[in-house]
Amino acid sequence: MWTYILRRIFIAIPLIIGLATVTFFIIHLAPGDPMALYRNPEISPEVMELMRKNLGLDQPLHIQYVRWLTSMARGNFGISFTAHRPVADILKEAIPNTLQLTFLALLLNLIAGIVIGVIAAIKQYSAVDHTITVSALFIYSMPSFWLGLMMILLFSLLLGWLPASQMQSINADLFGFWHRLWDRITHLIMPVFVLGIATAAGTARFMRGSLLEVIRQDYIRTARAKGLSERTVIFKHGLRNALIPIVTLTGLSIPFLLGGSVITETIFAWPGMGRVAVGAIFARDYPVVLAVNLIAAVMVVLGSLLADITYSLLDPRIRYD
Amino acid sequence: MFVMNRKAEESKGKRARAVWASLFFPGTGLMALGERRLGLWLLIPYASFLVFTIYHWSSVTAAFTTGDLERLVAALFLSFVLAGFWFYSLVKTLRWDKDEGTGMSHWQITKSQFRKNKPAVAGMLVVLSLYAVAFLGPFLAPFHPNAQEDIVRSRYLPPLAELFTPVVTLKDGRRIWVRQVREVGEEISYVPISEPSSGDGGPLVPEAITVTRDQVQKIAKTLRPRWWNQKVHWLGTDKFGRDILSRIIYGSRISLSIGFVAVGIAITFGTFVGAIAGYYGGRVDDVIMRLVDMILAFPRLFLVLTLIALFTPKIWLIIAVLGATGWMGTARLVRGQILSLKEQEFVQAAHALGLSIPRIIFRHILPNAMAPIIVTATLRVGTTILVAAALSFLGLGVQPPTASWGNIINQGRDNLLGAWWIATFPGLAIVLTVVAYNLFGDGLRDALDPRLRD
Amino acid sequence: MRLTKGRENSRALLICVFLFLLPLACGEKKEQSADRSNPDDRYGGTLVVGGIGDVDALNPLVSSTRNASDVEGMLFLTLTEINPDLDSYSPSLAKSWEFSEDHLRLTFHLRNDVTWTDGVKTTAHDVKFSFEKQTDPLIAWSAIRWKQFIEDVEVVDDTTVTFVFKEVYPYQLMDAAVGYILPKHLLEDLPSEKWRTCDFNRQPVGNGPFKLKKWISQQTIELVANERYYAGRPCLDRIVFRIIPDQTSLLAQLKSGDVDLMESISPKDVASMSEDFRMGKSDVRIVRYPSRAYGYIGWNLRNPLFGSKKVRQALTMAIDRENLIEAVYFGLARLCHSPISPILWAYNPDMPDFPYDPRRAEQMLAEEGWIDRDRDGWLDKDGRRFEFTLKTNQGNRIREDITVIVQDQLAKLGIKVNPRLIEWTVFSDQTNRKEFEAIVAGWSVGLKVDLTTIWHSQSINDKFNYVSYSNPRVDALIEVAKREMDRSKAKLLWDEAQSLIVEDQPYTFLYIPEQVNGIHKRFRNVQMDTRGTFIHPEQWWVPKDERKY
Repeated sequence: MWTYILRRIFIAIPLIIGLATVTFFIIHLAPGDPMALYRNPEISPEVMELMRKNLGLDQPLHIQYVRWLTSMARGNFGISFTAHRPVADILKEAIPNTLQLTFLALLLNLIAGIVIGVIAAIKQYSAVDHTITVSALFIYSMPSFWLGLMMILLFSLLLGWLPASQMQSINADLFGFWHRLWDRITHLIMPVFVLGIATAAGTARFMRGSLLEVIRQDYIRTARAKGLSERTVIFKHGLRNALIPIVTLTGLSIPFLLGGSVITETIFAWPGMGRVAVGAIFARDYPVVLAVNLIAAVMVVLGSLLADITYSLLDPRIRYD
Repeated sequence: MFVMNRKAEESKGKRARAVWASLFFPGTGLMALGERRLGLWLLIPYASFLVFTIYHWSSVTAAFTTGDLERLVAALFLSFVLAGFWFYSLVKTLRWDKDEGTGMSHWQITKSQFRKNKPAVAGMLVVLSLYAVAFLGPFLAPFHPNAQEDIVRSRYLPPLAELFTPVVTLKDGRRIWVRQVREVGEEISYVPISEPSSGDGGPLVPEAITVTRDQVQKIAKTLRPRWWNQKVHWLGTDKFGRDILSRIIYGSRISLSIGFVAVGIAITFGTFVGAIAGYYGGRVDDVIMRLVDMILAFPRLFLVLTLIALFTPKIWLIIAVLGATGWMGTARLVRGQILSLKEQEFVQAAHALGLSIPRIIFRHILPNAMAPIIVTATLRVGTTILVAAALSFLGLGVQPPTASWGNIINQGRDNLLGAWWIATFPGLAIVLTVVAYNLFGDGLRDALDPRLRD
Repeated sequence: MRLTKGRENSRALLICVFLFLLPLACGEKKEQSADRSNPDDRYGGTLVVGGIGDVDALNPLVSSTRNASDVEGMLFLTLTEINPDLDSYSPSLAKSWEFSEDHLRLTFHLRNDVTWTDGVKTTAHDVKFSFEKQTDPLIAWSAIRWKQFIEDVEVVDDTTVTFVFKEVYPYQLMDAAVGYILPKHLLEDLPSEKWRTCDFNRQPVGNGPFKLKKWISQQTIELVANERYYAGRPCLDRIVFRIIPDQTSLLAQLKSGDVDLMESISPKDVASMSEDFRMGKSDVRIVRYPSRAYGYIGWNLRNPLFGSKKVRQALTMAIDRENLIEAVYFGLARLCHSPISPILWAYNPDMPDFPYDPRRAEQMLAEEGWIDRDRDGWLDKDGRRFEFTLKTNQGNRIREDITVIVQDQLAKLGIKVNPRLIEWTVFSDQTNRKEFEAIVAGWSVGLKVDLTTIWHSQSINDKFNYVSYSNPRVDALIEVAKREMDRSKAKLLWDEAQSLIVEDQPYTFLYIPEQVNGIHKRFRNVQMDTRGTFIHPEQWWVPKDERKY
């Protein structure tokens, strides 16, 4: 097992380095000078040169690349051009917020997806099944930014039930623990829903198919023949086996959720990585763009690794060594 | 013998009549021959396109003379569609009895399988109608998508609103569009406003005029448009007083074409790469698949966002980037297909015949792997439209004033509560499109996938 | 003067230049108004300010966001502060000041009861140190050129400091006093190239009425009353800046009372909010005053399309500016005519005017050879179509809207405009390099009357004369006028320069917007005017029974 994990990590390293390299060159080959941010008629060309030198931008591209790679390896992400702070500090604040959001969305994805998928499978071809299938299709086909706006319109602006944006209320610091928890929950409902619901619809669809396939298998027939109750058959024998492919699906949905967080965080003004990324990309804050892309890639790789490990734990037929 | 002869004779006469019928009314001939369903499917769209053409006759003919490219494309599309239906129905009628007895080909099984799937057929029809709407935009849209009327009066009009612009006739007979500024007793003061782009307002004069209310009402009455030509803002207006419905119609062209072309690029490239990886295997396969893994490990939106924001957004760039970041799935799929087909007898035979490798891949292997490729392509268009709309929403789409569904929604964000219609309707248009594509794709998969076929 | 990015989006604008940094909110506590019963009742309460963008640094020499300057005004002091007439000065850190006989030496006498929040006294050495850092090219303070005529700063004793000038001109006092004074004892060992990233930027030590307590990036900045403030502690206990990056939710929070103060409310919401307040349905009071900004369309004079004065005049007359203001500002702006703001003494009310007249514009364009010869709907001349790109910065809705409206209005005359929205950093870079045909942009006008940096032909290459305007007569007038000590003579010179510029129409001047802020009605003694939102926040107070926090 451990050797497998180590091997996977070992394989992942060149992958991530490759990705980082691609982003580095894309960014540096793009038109537009990172120094544009500092260019200003008040600053003389000599000072600009000096600043360029301080930022290491006077070196040829391959030297810059090597330097950047080594400092990355040492965990030094550089200093943000716009915020004048170490990129690591910015990420340290943003990543937990994004994780909070994506983790809950993942949870929603799994719970809602599995429950709804199982219901649809058990009641195959019933009105419930059709309703679920149709709504899943619609949800899956909805642009998340539009869904978010419609929810804000309905629940914040018209009904006033939920806050439209941000992570917490203005005075959350002054609240007691329970109040603060409640406050956070109300702020989380819409973003988590918007982020998780599309993947949940996909999961439900998949779950339905997976369970239906399992039920057709011989061992289920055997279980039924043994005279076990339908409940036991479905939940003990069917579900356990039908769940296994869901794990892989979950691993695959991580890049999707991270990408979705860009949109969700923009709409709900959630102070996470997605918003940092959008801001940095627009402002051409290169160190931040590079770091965010790298972190996102690492998260995706870790996510799929985790999914594979869980997979092997769940399915005794699979052994890694 | 005699009986058979008469039968043949009869059927011959029947067909001659049917051909004549098809010449004038496509589909009717087939209906007469007993092909009711097919006949109707041909007749109804043909008739509706024909009615449409007649209704817009003057603008359609005008499109060929003026230099307006958009209208020309729309008019050409209309002609091609009509000609297509006519031709197809004629050929079908002529070859009516020739198809019989050939048995069910693979293609026919698929077709009948697909036809049984009602939602899929509906999806396909919606997709086709959407493209028709996109092409016929210039004839369908009640307003020019970028035409601003008198902004102060026409902005943020709710759905179904109708804007009445008073027209005042000056002493010299010129007619001008005006805006009411104040009303004192019987006297109403107006200032002239810019002429609406689609209106027939006369030349502008910059000074204010005063007329009495009677005069205005009289003028208003005479200028009331005929009911079928009435200009109503069915879906309201945006902050510049531009008609939302017209913008959605024109915006559909951006979304639909980006979806279609980007997926086309992605599928072609993915197929090519996958075929190479699958056929050659070994080192080549390793390198390509590592690359695929690498790009797949990336949240696509991050990558797309970075690329487009850094190289200022242009429509071809968006298409290229969406195409370049969407090919990996296809490559994997095609590789798998090729791996399984490579060892089959017909490929071995082709080898034995000494055919060149590209020929074997593209003429012999790929056609057999086509079904799943077409299915993924159809399903992909939906997601690609969603990504393109998201980009447009973030301001990385086409530049103003060109409309796209994403940028209309983005503008609606400004005044979500006060003007909910701006963001709502283009969103519904996206949902409709993507749902239709997904239904269509699902139906295709069910029809093409032999595993699910009973 | 400063190229403004607009209010709605104020992320980093390092490039944007403060030619004038208004001394905000500082100074002595003035006599309290008479209605006050028990002075102690005024102490307490919290003000929550909602802002769109985060602050980049709380160090006046390196920060570049609008929000940063709001906060800095509460943390640091300047030598003097400007009066509401925008022309004279009151004491602040300096008690008094006088010029030498030859007017080349300006001596400030400092208060001796001002201390930094760490307990160290603020002295003349801090003033000299601040000047040295302000003029350090490596730190590249955005307002560096304000100090260009100052030869040296001499410390006479702890409370006396003398500015030595290179020449005599009307704005010596303004130039000397501009910029916050920084603590020498904390910053003197910091190498210049480290200024942009040093810890001080996030943990500033000041001497103003408030001090920083907590700063969570992208979320809040919390200031508390500075007990050591020389004029006594401010009335309010706390001022909390909340960063809410979305205009709509910010406004919703202002209306719901979660936020007490919001700057720059979008014009479309103002009328209904004023009405709600008047009817007693809302607690948000709307404060309106003329801003110091103006918006324009700049025509790149190096482009052959805009080379002719007549064409530019025709373009101005083809744009219905009144309608445009009504459309984007809902009447909360006035038509702009001149490069000098009407709030300044040198404004010339009597100048050539180019009112909306599309027929005349069409005629003038035809006279210049622009006629639709090929009947394709667009004007052409020598085989070239009248078509250009109109750039503006993305994120500023008003300017984005203007490009769309201008596009439609000029299309009616057969001029094809392609609007193009560009991210701020790229936009300002391209503008600097003159890579544009026409731009919609704005200037935030300084309180100093000087047309040099934008209109002098010497400013084409390295300053803000982006449109490459060059008129020898204007150059000459500027040179004389900016050194003229006699106001009435200077006025005549500025009048003529303005008229010449307006006649040439290198810009189509568009509008002067009103600044519209909303503040909860429980705050008393609130002063906001053209000088800024936070003029004396230390004097704002809340009656005890109305306090929320």
